[in-house]
Amino acid sequence: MTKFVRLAALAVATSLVATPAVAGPVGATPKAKASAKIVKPLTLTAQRDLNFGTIVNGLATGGTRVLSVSQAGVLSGCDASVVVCSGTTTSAQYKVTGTNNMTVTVASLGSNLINTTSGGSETLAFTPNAPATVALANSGAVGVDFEVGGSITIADTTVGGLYVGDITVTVDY
Amino acid sequence: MLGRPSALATLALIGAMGIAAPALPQGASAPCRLCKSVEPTESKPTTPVTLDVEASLNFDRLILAGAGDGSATLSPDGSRTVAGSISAIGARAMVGEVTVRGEPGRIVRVGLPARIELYGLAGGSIRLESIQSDLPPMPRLDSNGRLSFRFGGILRITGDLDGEFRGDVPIDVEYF
Repeated sequence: MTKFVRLAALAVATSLVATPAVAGPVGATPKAKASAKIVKPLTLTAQRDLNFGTIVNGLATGGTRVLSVSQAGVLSGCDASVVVCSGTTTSAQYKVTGTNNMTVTVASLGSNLINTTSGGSETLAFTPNAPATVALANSGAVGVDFEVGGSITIADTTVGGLYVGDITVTVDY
Repeated sequence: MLGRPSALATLALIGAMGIAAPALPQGASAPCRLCKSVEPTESKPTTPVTLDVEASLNFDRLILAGAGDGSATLSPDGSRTVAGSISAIGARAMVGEVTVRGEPGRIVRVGLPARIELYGLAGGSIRLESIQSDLPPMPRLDSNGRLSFRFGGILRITGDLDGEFRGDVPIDVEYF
């Protein structure tokens, strides 16, 4: 009788030891995740041109001057006697549309403004000044506006005329 | 008085036979093929099996070109395709990766859900279905007790939903 009881106890102990091996499925902690960001395609529309206005160049021989239009449309670099500026100055304005709560990266490249008055042989290097990013506050057609300024450098040798060029601006999520 | 010891002895004999018989070695006669066939070929594992997520399944950015149904497929081998209203999938999309750890050489059963829902942070949901892995039919832990696999699936999109969507992929594993 005593031996039987001991055998039974041994059997129970064995089953307890073996329990972990037949345990149920084990899950990952933390769980695996799946994610996706669904976005509407970006559109970019030019709404307003950048304009430096009229610049009277009175620089002395060898002189240069940087003229800048800020993103807010404020012209700087002019004075009252040497480089005199007049007329309306504006920054360029673009509208970007896409998906709400997304951040859009803005990239811009320098370009040349060409003297259209004298036939296009003279150029002015234009350096754009655009925001690095734009936060979309809505989704779809409403979009968000942003402004691009820029600068040019004139010299005493700069030929007079109307300088015109394209501003290269791209956006991406 | 004489009957009680006899009954106890009988009970002890039955109990001993019932419990201990399978563990006793066979006699010197011809081997019992029936008994041999039910003998386990492997001992029971002593190391618990675990599951670690190395990388989550990430479809990155999906460009929704218009309204209507669309899908994006990210296969376990990393290949990707889009269809319908989905026009592009982001370059940083990556498949999920999981590592199973346990007793070396053991065959395991890995359970993947057939489909899950991904819920938008701003509402709505999309479905991830046909979740597949690159596991072989009988996945086995290697000599180091490790088994890594990757998984992907097909994301189905209906309507004009956009935004960020997330969901859990419940994966489980056990010794086979």
